[in-house]
Amino acid sequence: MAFGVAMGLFAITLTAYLFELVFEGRFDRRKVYVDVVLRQLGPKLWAVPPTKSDTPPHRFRITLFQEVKIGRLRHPLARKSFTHKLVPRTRISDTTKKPTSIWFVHEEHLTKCEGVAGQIYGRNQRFVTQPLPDLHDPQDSSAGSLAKSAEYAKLAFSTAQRVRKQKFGSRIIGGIPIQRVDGTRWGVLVYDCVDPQAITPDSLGKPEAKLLASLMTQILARAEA
Amino acid sequence: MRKRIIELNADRYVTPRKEQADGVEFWVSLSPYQVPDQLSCAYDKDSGCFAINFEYGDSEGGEEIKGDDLISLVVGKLTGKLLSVKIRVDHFGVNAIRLVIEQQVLEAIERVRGSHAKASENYQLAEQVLTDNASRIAECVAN
Repeated sequence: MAFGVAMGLFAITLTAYLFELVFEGRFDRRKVYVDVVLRQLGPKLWAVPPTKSDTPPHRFRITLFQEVKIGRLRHPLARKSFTHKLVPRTRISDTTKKPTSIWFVHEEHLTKCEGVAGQIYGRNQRFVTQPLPDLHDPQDSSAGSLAKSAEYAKLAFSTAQRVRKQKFGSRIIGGIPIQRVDGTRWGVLVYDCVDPQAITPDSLGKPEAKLLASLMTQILARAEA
Repeated sequence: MRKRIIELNADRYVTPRKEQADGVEFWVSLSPYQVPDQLSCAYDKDSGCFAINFEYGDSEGGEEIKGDDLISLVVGKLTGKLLSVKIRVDHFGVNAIRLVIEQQVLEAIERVRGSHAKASENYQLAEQVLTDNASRIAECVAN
């Protein structure tokens, strides 16, 4: 009897978990249009057009994050502090590595918004960090490296542990919010680059930024209709 | 009702500013959705109202804020950004419209600005747009 109940609960939990996974994958059918717009207009917001290079781990990236309400089963602990997570949906980059970073955010409390992506989401403004420390300098001692990681984490609104684990290479991060047609938040578009001059507040203020945001909103509206 | 469009280059009004939080400095500026692309002006003979609509990259729903009987503002339900200014032209007369925009409309926006702090920067931009385009808007009413 008890075994049957346990198996039943397990089946329900597994089904709900898989449903959350499938539900989060609904972005796929509009990805092709979003990619076209990002490839055409996205690079116009760089202050200095980045070039391809062999320097690790990448030179430039433009990543589109979508807000997703936190699932009860997948993130039971995070639900206590956050309301949504920003999930990477597509990326324009000089590498083929798929984006994996997820940032937890709170729709009302800015202090609970992780990372630069979270700050753009929480503030609903264009945002650019200060130049970030170089974490890939071979001449750094281990103590110097730790200090740099802590400084990097502070400037990028992350944690030193995450910075060290993911070996962040970006020297500057910025971006713009993306909204739905009705004015509600959809997500954020994040720019990051190993060249600290690649993004400036003025470059994100170019007229192309408005065109890009507007086109993204139109594509998302058509896909959701 | 005839609609006239005034194209804007409102990005030139957007000035990035340095902010600080927990000892960390960063740059922020208005969201692209808070910067209007164009103004659409329309006069409704039946109501005697002249509407100056701010067109953005989204279509957020609005709510009307009645300042007085002569001028009312429509602001976004979610963001509070300025969507429309409605002026009772019949009361003022067509010739006075430029003066009304430069004085009474700006005063009405300033009043609302205090109660919608999160859209304060948008109101400031809207004021600049209206000031710089007051004569073009007045031409729309005259025609």
